[in-house]
Amino acid sequence: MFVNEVQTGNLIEVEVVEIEEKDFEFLSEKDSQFKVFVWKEYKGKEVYKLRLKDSKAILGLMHIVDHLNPNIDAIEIKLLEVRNDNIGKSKKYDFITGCLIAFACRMSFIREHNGFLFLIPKTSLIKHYSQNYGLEYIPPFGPNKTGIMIVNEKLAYRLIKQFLNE
Amino acid sequence: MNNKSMKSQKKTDKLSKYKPEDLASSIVFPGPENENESRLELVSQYRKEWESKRTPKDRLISQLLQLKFQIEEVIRSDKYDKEKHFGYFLKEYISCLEKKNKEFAEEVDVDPTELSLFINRRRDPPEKFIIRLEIHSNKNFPAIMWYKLIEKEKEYKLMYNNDIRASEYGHVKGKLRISI
Repeated sequence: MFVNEVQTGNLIEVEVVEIEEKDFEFLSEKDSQFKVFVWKEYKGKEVYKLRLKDSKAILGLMHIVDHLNPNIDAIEIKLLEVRNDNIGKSKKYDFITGCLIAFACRMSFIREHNGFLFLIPKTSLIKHYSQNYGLEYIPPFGPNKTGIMIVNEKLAYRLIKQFLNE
Repeated sequence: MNNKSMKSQKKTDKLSKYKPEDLASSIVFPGPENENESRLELVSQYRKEWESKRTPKDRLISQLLQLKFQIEEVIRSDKYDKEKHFGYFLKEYISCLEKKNKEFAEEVDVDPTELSLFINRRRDPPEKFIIRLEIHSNKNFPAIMWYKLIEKEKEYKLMYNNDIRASEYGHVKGKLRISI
């Protein structure tokens, strides 16, 4: 699995592993570069980190929930955050989110959910999740409610091939 | 303003400098907690509709992908699950194809008894058998993947087989007296 170093175009090897206890301390420090969510609140939950294989520097975090109910039978990405120096135009590495979503798709196959995955989008981001990763938007039943963005088995395999090279 | 909405306001301030397309490449926000049921209902309905449209080929591809990723995960993992051995996955592969052992044995030209020995871990499969598996799977399950799976099992046995260690002790007449 690789991320793209934007300035050089080089592909840099990364890996996704389960978060460790010590990471929560580092993520809680004042100068932590993960400032959007309070990750220590997710201690004990299923959280993964994407890190550079060489330096072990963390570039992205993701919290997933496994919906075992046979009617749902999918993995939900509850939360995802990329290190703040990789957001926006001046980002250092690209593909971090793609790799994390593809990792969750692969996990969905491994856990026998046939690759199905969903997340709850902010309204302003729907179009972009769709453009960037191909996620399909399912509108809500009623007004003032949120829809979902879903990955089906075919898209899941496409994302895995694209971002995990498998 | 309560604590939670203050936190949320701070979050919005931090992110207001970014365009929506940049945020979609970097963040997934938690959805509102009060709508869980209606959202799960959406997933459930989508799953039902999708299931009704799936072809047997779709199902087979999905099952094979599942199997392949499960094998890769076992190979990659630092932990070893004794139940997830070569024979277990071979049985799963045959089951994905909805074939009887005898029929599959014929397709890869092995005796059904021998196939059963491989499935039940009574005999290690030879190289030629895992190469036949590669050919049978149209290279979707390469021989090297099966080989690594077998090696993983051997590695575990080698590390934790104390019986063989105890019995081999008597065959070693001399040994190094230093530890490095």
